Amino acid sequence: MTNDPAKVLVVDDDPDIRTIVGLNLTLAGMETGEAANGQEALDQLASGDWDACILDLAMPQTDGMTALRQLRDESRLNDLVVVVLSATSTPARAIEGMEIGAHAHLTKPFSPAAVAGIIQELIDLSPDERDKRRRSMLERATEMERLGMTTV
Amino acid sequence: MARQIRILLLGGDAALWVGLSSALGSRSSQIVVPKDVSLGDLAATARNIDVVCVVTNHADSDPCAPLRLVRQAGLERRTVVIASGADQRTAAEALGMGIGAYIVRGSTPDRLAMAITQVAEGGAFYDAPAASVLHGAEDAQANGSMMSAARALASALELKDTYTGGHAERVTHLAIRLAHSALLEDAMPSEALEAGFLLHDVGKIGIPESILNKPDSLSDTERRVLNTHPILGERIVAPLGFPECVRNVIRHHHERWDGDGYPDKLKGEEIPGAARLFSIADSIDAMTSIRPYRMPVTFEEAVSEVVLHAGKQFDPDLALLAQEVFLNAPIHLPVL
Repeated sequence: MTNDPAKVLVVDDDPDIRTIVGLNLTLAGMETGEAANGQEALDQLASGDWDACILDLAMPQTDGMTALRQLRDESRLNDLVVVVLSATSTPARAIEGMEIGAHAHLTKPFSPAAVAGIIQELIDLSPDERDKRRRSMLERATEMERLGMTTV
Repeated sequence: MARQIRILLLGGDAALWVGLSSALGSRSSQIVVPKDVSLGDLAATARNIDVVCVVTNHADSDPCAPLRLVRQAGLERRTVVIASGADQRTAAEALGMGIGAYIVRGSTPDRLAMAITQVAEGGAFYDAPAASVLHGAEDAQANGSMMSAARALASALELKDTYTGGHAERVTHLAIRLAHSALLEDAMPSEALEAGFLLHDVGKIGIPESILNKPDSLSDTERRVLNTHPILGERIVAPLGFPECVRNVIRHHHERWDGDGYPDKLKGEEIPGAARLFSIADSIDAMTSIRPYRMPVTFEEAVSEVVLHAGKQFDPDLALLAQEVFLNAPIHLPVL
């Protein structure tokens, strides 16, 4: 953990979401960048020193899930915090994202002001702790699906 | 940084606990589930608890009994009611008690997490369907009770924003008067248009209270975050099936005739009529209201100010019409 501001890439094809999330991260003292699809995100992440990425799952061209798979294949990006966004919140969807390596899953609509807190908390964890948390959430989500729960 | 939220869960079952911890998975939380709770216990634990979640069951003979307990312990503003089904009686009693949040069981985990986070931070959260349940309107459009749903949402906002007391109702009254004289094609007076006026600032529900209620002037970033409220508002009402004029007012009421407004920098007649008309009423009410940072002006001065900014901030025709409607002054008609 460093004292430099966290650098977060916001990836969504909807410019409104990019603006709102980006501004709330800026307000929390983070540096932000934007990408409108998965390929743009991969290009930007390949260059530059990013701490985290907020990734919408449903996007034209390279969607979020595909981008997530590709960036998890890049060993250089192993420590990148990834939060996925989607419009549906079925456990199956959350499980799929977390299995590939997302650390958190947010369903739209979400509270924009809460996103910075979630990101900061994940960044402050060591990569090991982060992975441990991801696996425990994955277990919970799997349990929820086993119980047939899609909602609370 | 988000700190740990301590939650006391009353009622409910294992499935709900799993759902709750999963919903809050990315926020660190501590969930206490007592076996049996008396008023004494509740008052004693209150100091160590941020949010009380009460699960009510409409099949119980007295579903609100646990709510009265939290109220006696003075915890109602910190309480999230998770109600089973569309139980109007529970909703009415709970909201009447002034509880912090009301959410229907069956909402997504994220909505529940949002409600809990809001309440933990001293805000309020009413599930839109739950708010309409209170007013006996489950479907805003189907049974013509759009206004009830709009009022419920608007009052949820008033709880959060301390500076705007009564603003929504006053400005709606002014804007409807103007709409009756203007008779614009895309802003004909109707219940829907009125709902749009009432809900213009509903997006502020998504703006942090530290910004909304800040007594000093805002930093550049804070200002830009505040200025996202029209976009957030459009998204909040989108699933409720309101007609286009409602969404137009919410999204575009801060656009300016000269194109210097937000969020889309629309210019002149690109701005929907309902929003052009509303922004005049909005400015008049803002200028005549008491705010901590300046003295209010008289109604006449406010209207003159609008006329002064005709063609810059405001639609010039509508600004002159406002002068006639509100001050009963004749319009100077151009010679054709």
